[in-house]
Amino acid sequence: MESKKVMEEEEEMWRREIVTSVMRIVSTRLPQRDLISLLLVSPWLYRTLVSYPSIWLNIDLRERTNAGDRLLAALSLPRYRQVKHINLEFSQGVEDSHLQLVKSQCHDALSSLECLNLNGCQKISDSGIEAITSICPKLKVISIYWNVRVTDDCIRHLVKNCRNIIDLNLSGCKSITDKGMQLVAESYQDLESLNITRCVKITDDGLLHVLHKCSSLQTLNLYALSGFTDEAYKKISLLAELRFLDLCGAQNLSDEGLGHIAKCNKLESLNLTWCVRITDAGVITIANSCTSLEFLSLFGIVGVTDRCLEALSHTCSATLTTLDVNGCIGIKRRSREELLQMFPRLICFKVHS
Amino acid sequence: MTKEMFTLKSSDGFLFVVDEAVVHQSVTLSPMVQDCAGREYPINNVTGKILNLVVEYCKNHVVVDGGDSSSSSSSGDALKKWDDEFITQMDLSTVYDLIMAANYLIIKGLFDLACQRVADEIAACKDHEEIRATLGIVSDYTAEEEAEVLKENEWAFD
Repeated sequence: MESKKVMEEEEEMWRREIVTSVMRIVSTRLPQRDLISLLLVSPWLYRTLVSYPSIWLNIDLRERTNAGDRLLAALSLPRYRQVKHINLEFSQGVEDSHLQLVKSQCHDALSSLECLNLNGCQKISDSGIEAITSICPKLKVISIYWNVRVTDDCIRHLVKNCRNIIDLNLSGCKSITDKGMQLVAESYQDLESLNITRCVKITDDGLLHVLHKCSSLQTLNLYALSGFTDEAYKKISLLAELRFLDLCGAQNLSDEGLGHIAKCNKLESLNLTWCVRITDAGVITIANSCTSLEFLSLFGIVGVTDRCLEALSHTCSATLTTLDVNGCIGIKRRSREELLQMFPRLICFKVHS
Repeated sequence: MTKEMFTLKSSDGFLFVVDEAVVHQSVTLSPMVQDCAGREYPINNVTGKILNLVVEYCKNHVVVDGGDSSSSSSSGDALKKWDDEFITQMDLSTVYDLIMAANYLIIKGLFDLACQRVADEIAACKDHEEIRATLGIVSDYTAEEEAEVLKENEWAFD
């Protein structure tokens, strides 16, 4: 009887070990809700899971209500001491006061934070950014999409507190000016990704600061910025590592400007939607230089003809998988079948709606 | 050209004769191709029951993985279907053992497949009580302890 009981206990211990090992392995694939539910399953599972900080590196509060309060509650738990990613995208109820409370109550909790997503957190202003950035010195990626309150001051706080930013998304932060860009250029010379979509106050001056200093840029998003001119566009050629360039709406961009941009020969993705001054000449310089192109939109450009597609098919047919030539009335042969003949690897024919 | 055959021996003494293409799918076993042709290679922490499943998986993945990367989508679909059936017919306890084996032998496709099965089982549960039932775990929590853990983590739930 006794030995049977001991065997049963040993078997149970062995089972628990397997279950814990498996859960630890699987936990990295589980969404937050399921992962935390595992803590409620059994105390031995709780104890083992919280002892592995590597599975508690994310706090996901996307689209949640009362996200500010939820964030404070999460950060008060020791298991999140090494958190690396916090996502508050499109959440509600995140205000400067919450971020100030995080600073005063959880000031050690963000010492490992690398990525902060504040997309759509429209109530936050410069002072909230000052508070949160002051306690995450290792921050590398920050995204503040669609916040019209933040000004150049928020960039001032950012460059002061976070010296290691490589990815900055200010899409829709309409109050940012050339001053902000100058600060970015001076402080983030290793910047790899910059998104200033719709930051309409930025002029050639501001962009030029960035182009001259941030030579490691791989991604540059200038979507819906129609105020730039060739003076700035030409200097995009300084970005030798550029892979992704969005120039949607660049109505002043000429073939000459595009010719300079073609020097970025590692380009994989180029959006020229509504670049209405471009003709075959500009696109052909791109075709001859950017032979790794995978994504190209010429949407709405009436000045390009079949000639430019011919040039592209000679150099980019092995790599091009997305080509949008809707509205390109100068191109006669652009049915799906005709495009597939020239570019056999195409899978996407429409980028712009 | 004769195919090289290798003999794998499970922890409980079962022998499995497999060819090179199967062995190569395991990063752990791959180097043995140089040394072990004709000898028995012991796999000390995998039982015959599980090794049988591992070999079955690898045999089925030889044709596609060994070919070029632009294999037709229909053969890719057929393989996916086979994978789904393969992993769904197993009970969870077997899936756990398969995860541990694929982890040790470093067979990425099998490892991912088995882990995803467990993740899917958990995702299908509406709460921690259902997870307990599905995983066959009896909880040691007292009512107070459980309430405490729930409170500590209520921020994560709606």
